[in-house]
Amino acid sequence: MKLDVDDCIERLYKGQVLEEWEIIQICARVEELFIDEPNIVHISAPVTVIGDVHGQFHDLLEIFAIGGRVPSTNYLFLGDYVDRGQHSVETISLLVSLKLRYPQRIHLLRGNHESRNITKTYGFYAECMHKYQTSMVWKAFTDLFDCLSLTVIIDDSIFCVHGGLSPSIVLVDQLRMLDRFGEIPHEGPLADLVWSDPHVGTEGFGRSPRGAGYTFGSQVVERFLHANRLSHILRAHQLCMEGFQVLFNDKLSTVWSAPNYCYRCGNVASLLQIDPYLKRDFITFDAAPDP
Amino acid sequence: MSGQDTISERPGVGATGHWLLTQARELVENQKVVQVDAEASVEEACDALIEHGIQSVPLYDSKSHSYVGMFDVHDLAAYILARRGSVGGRTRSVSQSSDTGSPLARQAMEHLDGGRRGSRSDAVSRISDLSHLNPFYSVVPETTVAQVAQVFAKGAHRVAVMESERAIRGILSQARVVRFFFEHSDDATSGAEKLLLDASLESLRLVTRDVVTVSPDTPVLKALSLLESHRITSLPLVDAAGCLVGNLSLSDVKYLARERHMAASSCRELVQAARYWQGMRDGQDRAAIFSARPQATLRYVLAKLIATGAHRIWIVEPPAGAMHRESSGLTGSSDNGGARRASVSSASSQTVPVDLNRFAGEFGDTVCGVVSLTDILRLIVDAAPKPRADPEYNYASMD
Repeated sequence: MKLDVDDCIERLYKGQVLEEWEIIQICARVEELFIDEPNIVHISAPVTVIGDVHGQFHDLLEIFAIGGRVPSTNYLFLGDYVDRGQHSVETISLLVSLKLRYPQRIHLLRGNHESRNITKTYGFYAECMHKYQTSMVWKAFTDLFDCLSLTVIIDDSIFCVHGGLSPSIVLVDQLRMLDRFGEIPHEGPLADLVWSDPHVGTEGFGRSPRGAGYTFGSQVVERFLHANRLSHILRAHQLCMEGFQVLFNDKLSTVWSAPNYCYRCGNVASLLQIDPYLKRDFITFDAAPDP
Repeated sequence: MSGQDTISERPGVGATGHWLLTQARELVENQKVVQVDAEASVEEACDALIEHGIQSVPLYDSKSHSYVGMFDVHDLAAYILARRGSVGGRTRSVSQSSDTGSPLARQAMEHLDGGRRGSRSDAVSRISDLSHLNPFYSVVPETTVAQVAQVFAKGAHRVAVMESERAIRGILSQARVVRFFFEHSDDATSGAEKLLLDASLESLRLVTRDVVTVSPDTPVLKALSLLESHRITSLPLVDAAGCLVGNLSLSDVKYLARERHMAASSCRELVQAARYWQGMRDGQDRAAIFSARPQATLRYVLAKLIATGAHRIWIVEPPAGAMHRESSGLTGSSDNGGARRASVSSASSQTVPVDLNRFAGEFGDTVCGVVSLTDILRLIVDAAPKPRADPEYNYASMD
């Protein structure tokens, strides 16, 4: 069977799930793309940055309605595409299909939910089994997740990651040497990057209540930015009732893109538009009306 | 400070005072005590547990203006086991529920049936003393941490610090005492206690290889029976190969009040529901497994337990005969130009020495022991210097 990516994308925009063979082929081809990407991907503004989506497919369509579709708008997604929402399959299928079709217009980072163990607990595995009756689709996606890059730097100035910083990574160059391919370990720099959280009042690094990664405070952020000649850290990973949060004297921002999280939190979500001059503009939005 | 056999009599913590001499009142200062009305429903009591992130709650009777007991997850588990034959709130008679096979459950059924029949929802006070695994301990504000720690070392999870017969000043938990110890481990402990922190789990004889496990598909009710019959508070979920894939705690049971149908489900499904609610409440999700390798130090484990609020951590080891990927630290390999890592095959006969610096468990490890707050307190109490016999300290009052 010959893959028609444009047709797949069109069906996905309508909310249809793809056939199992289509997903497996798309994943195989996107895997090759991801493998070629370094641990730190360098991109340029303008770009629209999106935080956690967590399977809220109709809100993803809302994001494209507000921010513009790929390829007319460049996008950077910070991870956590699956779990918790009811349409993780459609969400990740659309995003990887868009990546295959427009590889330079959309970038995808790995979140802590792009992991076998987490997806077995928080819903993606169950949804795949329900929609496809076998675990092949889940396996194709989780194998693909193993290849996702971890960080992006926008115009040598804005550092983007899903969770946060690691005590093992003082200089960005250290990131280049990591072997990122494989399941996210319980500990170590790879785990830290996708699990850590900023915390006001923490001095240095502290143990995270999540059981993985660390908490880190303003001094850590300032030292990291200064040592690496960066201006700002962008991350996701934590629910923000107002859709976003800016901390540490505008040195770090959290973007959260799943409105009314789990269909009951009542929060607003945001997307972050970065213009060619690196000016940051949060646009907030509510949950899409029930289809 | 080393080699002391006895501790100074001066109370309080500081350069010369020992942490065990601190009074209970100091550890519950500024605590807002959560309580539930004795006539509230079981569901309302569980909602209070969930909302405040606690495992037990005192029940207050507004008529007599006094506390009539504590409701905790042990009671809830006993209640669920007792009702396992009932549907939609109707109770079954004791003779029909003999399939529970549990003396406690039968006793609980009798206790429940004794009052009324056919009501939709039991008042929480009626089930607050169903379980015998959680005797209610109370202490006065002047009781020292030393005395409380002795009680905790034997397995009690918390004590109520009573202002007077009718007023609770606060609930003092194992977790709070352990955190206090850790915070003062530099300035207010003996040499033996400091050594304890740097000892490995293996040297502390915690790797017993004698842990009760269940598969993720084990029915919840079966798991609850196991918890009760073994007098334990959590079970590791292991897959067919024996690898640790998750954890079911007694405290996860409180979510069953919200999702009654889940009493008929598997451990995996209950754990998923619990994590779902927990992550929503916290606004952030947690790692699925908290584990440590036998060479990890007690200090490492304590830091992790205190940070996460977990009550125990599983000790895990790599399965025998498996090949291991080098720790994902800075391997010095060149920028990844398309080199996909080789997949790990557990059937390989090659073994690679395990990295001794690695304290955290990894996926694919099997369970070989457990470290709980009770274990830690027992170790601390054994290592701590014994107070001089003093007529002022009335140890008998703890019973």
